Amino acid sequence: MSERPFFVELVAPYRLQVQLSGEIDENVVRRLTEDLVPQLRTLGDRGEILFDLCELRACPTSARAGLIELQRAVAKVGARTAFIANRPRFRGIALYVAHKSGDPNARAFHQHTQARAWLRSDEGRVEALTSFLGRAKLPRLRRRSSQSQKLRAVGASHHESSEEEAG
Amino acid sequence: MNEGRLPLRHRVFVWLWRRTTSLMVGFPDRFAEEFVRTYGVGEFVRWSKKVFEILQRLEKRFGPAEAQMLIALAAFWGGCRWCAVGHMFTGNLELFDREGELGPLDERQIPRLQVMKDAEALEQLMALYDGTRWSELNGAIRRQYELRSGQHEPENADDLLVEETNVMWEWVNECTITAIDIDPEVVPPQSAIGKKHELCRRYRRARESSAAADEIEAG
Repeated sequence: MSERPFFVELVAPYRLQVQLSGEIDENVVRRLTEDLVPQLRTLGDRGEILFDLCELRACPTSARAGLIELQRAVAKVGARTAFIANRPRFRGIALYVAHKSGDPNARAFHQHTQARAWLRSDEGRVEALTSFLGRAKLPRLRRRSSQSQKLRAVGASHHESSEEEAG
Repeated sequence: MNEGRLPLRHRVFVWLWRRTTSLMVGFPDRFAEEFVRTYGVGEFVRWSKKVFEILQRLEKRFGPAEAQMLIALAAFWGGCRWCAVGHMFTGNLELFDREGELGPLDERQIPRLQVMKDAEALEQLMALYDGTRWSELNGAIRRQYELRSGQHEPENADDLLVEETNVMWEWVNECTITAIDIDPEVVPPQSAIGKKHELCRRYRRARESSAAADEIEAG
């Protein structure tokens, strides 16, 4: 594991991975910004950034303010961002940074697979949520009157697929 | 975020919304302006209806206390302290009111759990929501985490409801996350049950007695 508070690596042609470790402060974020932003500019709007927060231990208010500024710079370039954190607190901080920076293309996740899918997509953060909720609404609201009816429908489809497998 | 002044018609809406929530739940929605700034009035009203619809479906399927607890945990995994504490408080009050029991998770412990790794936090939740009384919710909590963390896709009606809850509260948390460092002691219950002040006082006293008893037991 790296002792450095941050580590930036080009992991794919247009993807930078940034690992943040330990307790970061505003000076760490300033150095990270100086390192990252020029690299981002060379990638342009096809750029992607994956912030790995799994080794992060503390991110005080002053560091968050710097991260918000950094995220504004990312948004300006038009790059897409995924944050990965294995603690709820840091997913919360990532959302806070994304929201406060006004970057619609940054979102926090639990896992790398979720993050990679996000980086490949072109929906905004809020757009992705409302499009899921919109899709979820139509078919099931019509059947909402009976929960058991829904369960029967699910049971029937399971039964059908079991029959197909058996066949 | 554009943090300039909202147009007059939006400010009027915010004022009305805050008045309405004061009457409904006993306190003005402190995020009303943030919601309107982020989503606009139309989108905010549209998806707020969906919030209530999901709450009703959760209550019908799991019960009023459990519905609030699942909402709390949807927000919990997203790192939102306001919603996680507030809805767990609401669920605990519902339980205390109906069954005279304290919920397994004191809402004030949520910030401590949120700094744990997911696996450790899930393990603690599983241990807290143990026993016959909580067997159904225990399964739903585990499934909620698995769905949110992308380990599984929804497979049945319960999964779909829990996944919708996760996504709906991600939408809510877009704005409530601005209270990321709030003192859990000051987060109010998130439903009309918070207006039952005597119930809230009895609940607080019961929590304190329980904590004192735990301390004595621990030696």
